[in-house]
Amino acid sequence: MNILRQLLRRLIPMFSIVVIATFLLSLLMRLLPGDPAAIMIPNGTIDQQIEIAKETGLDRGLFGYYWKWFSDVFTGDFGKYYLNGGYRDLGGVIADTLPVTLMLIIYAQIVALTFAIPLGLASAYKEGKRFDRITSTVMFTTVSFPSFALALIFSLIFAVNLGWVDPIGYVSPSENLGEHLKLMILPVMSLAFGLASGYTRLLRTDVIATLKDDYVTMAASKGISNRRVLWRHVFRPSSTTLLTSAALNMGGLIGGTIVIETIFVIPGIGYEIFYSIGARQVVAMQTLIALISIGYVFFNTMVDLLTQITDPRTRERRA
Amino acid sequence: MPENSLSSTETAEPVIKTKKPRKTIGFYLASAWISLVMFLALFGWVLPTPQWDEASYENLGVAPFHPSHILGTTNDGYDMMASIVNGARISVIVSLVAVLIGGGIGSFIGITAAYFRGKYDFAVTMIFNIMLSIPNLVLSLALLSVLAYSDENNPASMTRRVVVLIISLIIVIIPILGRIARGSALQWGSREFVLASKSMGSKNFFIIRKHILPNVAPAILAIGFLAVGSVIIVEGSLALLGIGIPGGASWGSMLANGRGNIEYSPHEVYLPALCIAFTVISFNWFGDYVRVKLDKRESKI
Amino acid sequence: MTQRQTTRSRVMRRVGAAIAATIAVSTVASTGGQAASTSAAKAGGEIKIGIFDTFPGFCNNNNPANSSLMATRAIFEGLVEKTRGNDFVGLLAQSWAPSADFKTWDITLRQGVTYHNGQVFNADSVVSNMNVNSGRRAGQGIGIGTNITFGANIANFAKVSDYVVRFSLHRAQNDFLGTLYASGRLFMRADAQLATGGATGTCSTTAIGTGPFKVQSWNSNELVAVKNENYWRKDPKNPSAKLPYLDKITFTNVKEGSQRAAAVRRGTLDAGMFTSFSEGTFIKDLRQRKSVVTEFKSPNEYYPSLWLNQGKAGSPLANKNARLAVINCIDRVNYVKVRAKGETAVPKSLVGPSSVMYTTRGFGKFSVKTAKANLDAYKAETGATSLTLSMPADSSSASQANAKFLINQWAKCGITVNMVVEETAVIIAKAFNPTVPFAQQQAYDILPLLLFEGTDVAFNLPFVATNMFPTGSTNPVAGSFRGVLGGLLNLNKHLDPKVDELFFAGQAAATKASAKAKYQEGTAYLQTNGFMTSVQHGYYTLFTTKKLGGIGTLKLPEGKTQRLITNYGIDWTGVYKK
Repeated sequence: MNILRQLLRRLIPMFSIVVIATFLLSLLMRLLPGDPAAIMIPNGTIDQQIEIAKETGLDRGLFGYYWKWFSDVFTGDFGKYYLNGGYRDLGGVIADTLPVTLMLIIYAQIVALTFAIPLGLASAYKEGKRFDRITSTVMFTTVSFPSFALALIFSLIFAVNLGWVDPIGYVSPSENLGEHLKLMILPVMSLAFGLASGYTRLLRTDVIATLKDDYVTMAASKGISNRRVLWRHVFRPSSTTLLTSAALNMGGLIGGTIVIETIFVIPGIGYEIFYSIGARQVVAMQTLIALISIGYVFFNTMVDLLTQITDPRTRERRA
Repeated sequence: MPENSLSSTETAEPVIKTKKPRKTIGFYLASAWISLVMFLALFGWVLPTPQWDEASYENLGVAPFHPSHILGTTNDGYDMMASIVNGARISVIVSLVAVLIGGGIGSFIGITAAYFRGKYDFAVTMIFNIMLSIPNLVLSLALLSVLAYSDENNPASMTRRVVVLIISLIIVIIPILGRIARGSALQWGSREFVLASKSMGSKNFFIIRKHILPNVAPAILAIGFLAVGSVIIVEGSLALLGIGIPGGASWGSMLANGRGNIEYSPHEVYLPALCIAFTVISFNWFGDYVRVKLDKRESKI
Repeated sequence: MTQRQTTRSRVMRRVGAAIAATIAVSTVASTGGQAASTSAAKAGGEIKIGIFDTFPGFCNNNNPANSSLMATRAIFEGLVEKTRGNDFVGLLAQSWAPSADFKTWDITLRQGVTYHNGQVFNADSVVSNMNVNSGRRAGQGIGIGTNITFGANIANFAKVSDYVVRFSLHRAQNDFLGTLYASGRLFMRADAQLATGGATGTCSTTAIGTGPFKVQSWNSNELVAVKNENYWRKDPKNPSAKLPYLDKITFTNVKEGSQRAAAVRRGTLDAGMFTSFSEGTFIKDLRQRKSVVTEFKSPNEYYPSLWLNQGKAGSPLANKNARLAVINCIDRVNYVKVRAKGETAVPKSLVGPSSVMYTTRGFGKFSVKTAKANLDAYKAETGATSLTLSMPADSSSASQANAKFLINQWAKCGITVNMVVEETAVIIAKAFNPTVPFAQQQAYDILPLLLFEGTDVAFNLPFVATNMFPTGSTNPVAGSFRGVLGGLLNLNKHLDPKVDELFFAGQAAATKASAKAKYQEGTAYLQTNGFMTSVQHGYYTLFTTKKLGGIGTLKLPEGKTQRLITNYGIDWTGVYKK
């Protein structure tokens, strides 16, 4: 079972990366100045603060705290937002917000790829020609606007001036699919623009390189139509790189949606990360951020594995 | 997402074997813009603009081409021209320094990892992955809180915040450029001329310098130039969350401060955004040119 | 309660000011007209409201911030309310009777009121609420909130009969109703909410009040409240109808002001709350759109201060001339013009003219020359060569821009002020920390914070008194925390007992006129000695779409109408959808 062995071989480093990354997070959290329990519930009594320190393992030193956090998460206890009298369970918060963010990201990826693939192929095919230059200039102009600026520009144009969509809000797809998609247009566009230009660029470079490969030249010389060569012999291998990159972006995008979710008032996990940072909820911060790290490592490994199995060219290239 | 335009260039750019670099109009425009920005960054203070951080109480949010404010003012009365000139310094210094140092360290680690392989390589790859897995926003936040810790009695100075910001950006850049360098170096490390050189008993670092670096450099440089632009944007997003450089001192910070006024004084958003856009495009064109120019591989193989 | 509340919502954004020349105009705005709708039109419906704060929880010590307090007030009710004429009027209390020396107050409660969970509101319920609010149950799942300081003068409270509670006070207090009102924050909560439970309890997470709406769901950014079918109030104009009219209200935190304004303009939100301190641009724009939105504006009765820390070890601000240099170097006119787009008012006193504390005596006037003279005097007296201070700003760009503006002005007078950028939670924790000794609390030299508000003294006093707990206080918390909690809210960290004396004398005065004279003397003392200053006085405002009716028209049970809008928004009970 080749695949299984490959998988196992990767599981160990994957696991250790997760462990080390989350441990480093713990370290960062512990290095933040001030007594974390006192900042989390500034109005609590000393007894309450001590109890919270005990509950979260903050009283046990770095390793004790990490172990407490790690074993808790392992058993499904993701920690809490502490209030001055009570708490909100983070597990529930994640269950509510993560799907929303994932939807947002997946839509953005789909939209970005839908634009990037034809544009990337075409500009590679017409490398150096006017079409190529215009595409890349336009792409660079859009990527140069931070997503929050794009978001507010879109909101001004499409919500305020044209009045096509609502400037804020979220509806779950099970409640009203049409409304859900309509409200997602602006946030998805704000995220997808930057992504699309990155992907276009990536695909363009990759395809240009592939076009020069011997087998492509050969295929072309055999008299196979250009379009067929482009799709079958060029795009297919190049698409692996593109998809790799798209998958690797997943983890980072969760962090990247913080701003977009705040602007468009989408109850996603980015909103919660922002809140937990502002309220200095150390445990919540650690769990939410660890989630992104784990997502990153997971997608990274999966993509690595898949490309190794499916595309011999990558195996060779990665030596 | 700007943050991702950096990481989406994970894989090494296969170097295209093209003809000699052509100096197009684009190239001249790019050079002109970069020179202008550099000039503003270094000698902007000689320009007869008002103080960038001093509000003009009479002219709040005036449009460009106002007699005393050529590019207008922000809604809070700060002169746009002065802010852009000052922002050029901060933005360009932050991004250039971060990319130079981060790229330098990253390339060194990446290339040596690819060359020596073995446990060293394994460790490097692992560390890169760990670093990449922590979102840069969080990393910057934590580093700023820890390293630029403000005691009320002796608050962290602006310089210190800028330095810490640069450090955190460097930490973000190292694994990104490092991975690219490693990927690219891997292709070259097993080539015949490297093996030949090894068998002739050349010193390792001699081989790296002589045979690998020149081949890897074009890809790194191209991405590095791209990264300069991306870092400017990333700094802007950090500024919005209060982690970057505060007070409209950088282009990104100007954008973050002016974002709410987009409907009432749009130039507050468009002007810094266009500055960023021109800079990103210019660095990219410039990077393309340099890459092609440096690409002398054909002759070596 | 307030301090945190304000900070949480974006500390410095509110560094601001207000003259109340505008007050008369502002409250009147826009209520006319829509009163006489038919009952058929008041069919209810669901509405969405945009606010600018997060929901920190429902316990008193969570200190909900201004705009989220609006949501909280839809769920909870207090004993007394304030009318438009600034009189106190009963809400859950029906009447009251002070003793001649103002040391004993008998409060008679309204009958027939129940909490959302069916518990009857009566004297027992008030006693258990007071137990929590005064810190007598601290540690049993409920923190020692800074709000304890507000009731520090209460020696004892006891049930006299099922619907009468007797409060005995240490010091005579003629404005005890102000303490019970606490600027609309002393809510009555059901026992089930106050129930203990380990370190953290349930006080913050379970909301059970007597108000017109019940919590359906909530998280830090959104609160959904639904109609309380058993609500006790009746509409005198429409006695057959059941209050409240609305079926459901969703309060959402829309952080970006531009997006909130856009959503109200388009009708995505039925109403949006704005603050004059940092959202002047949007307020001005919305105000012009009379055909789309209606404005409900509060008086300029919110008075952010710069708290000058005199108690920190080695603080340069212990010197009066150093303080005066800081105060006289603030160009309030241009601050208001630039930072608040002229929407706030330039202050002539720590508080506005509608306050009993109002006096212009000794209030700093902008003059670089005077400031420099003050600075020189400071240097001559202390031998110091420079004046360097610290001031915090949170991560929002508005907060940092406000700080930058002031810092630039101070630089012109030769005063160096360093901006300490920290997260809101850290600023709060540092400014109000009941667990450290007095001298280590509030370590910033200059702390910009909105704490003063309204027209009376009861709410403002704890922020300037050196110790709110009388010696020999019977409150068990005072026993261990008197020195800390009693002066915790005194952000100036001054130790001058003269301030306490003057204000306490006012509270003990027999007539309104003599009370007012004492309060003004107290304010003048704070101003002349440069304990603190104010940069602007501002307001909060609510813009609604044309679809909402009945705002501000519902009469209180005692016949008067409560204040139309405050920093916590409006009363949603009588509001309906047209």
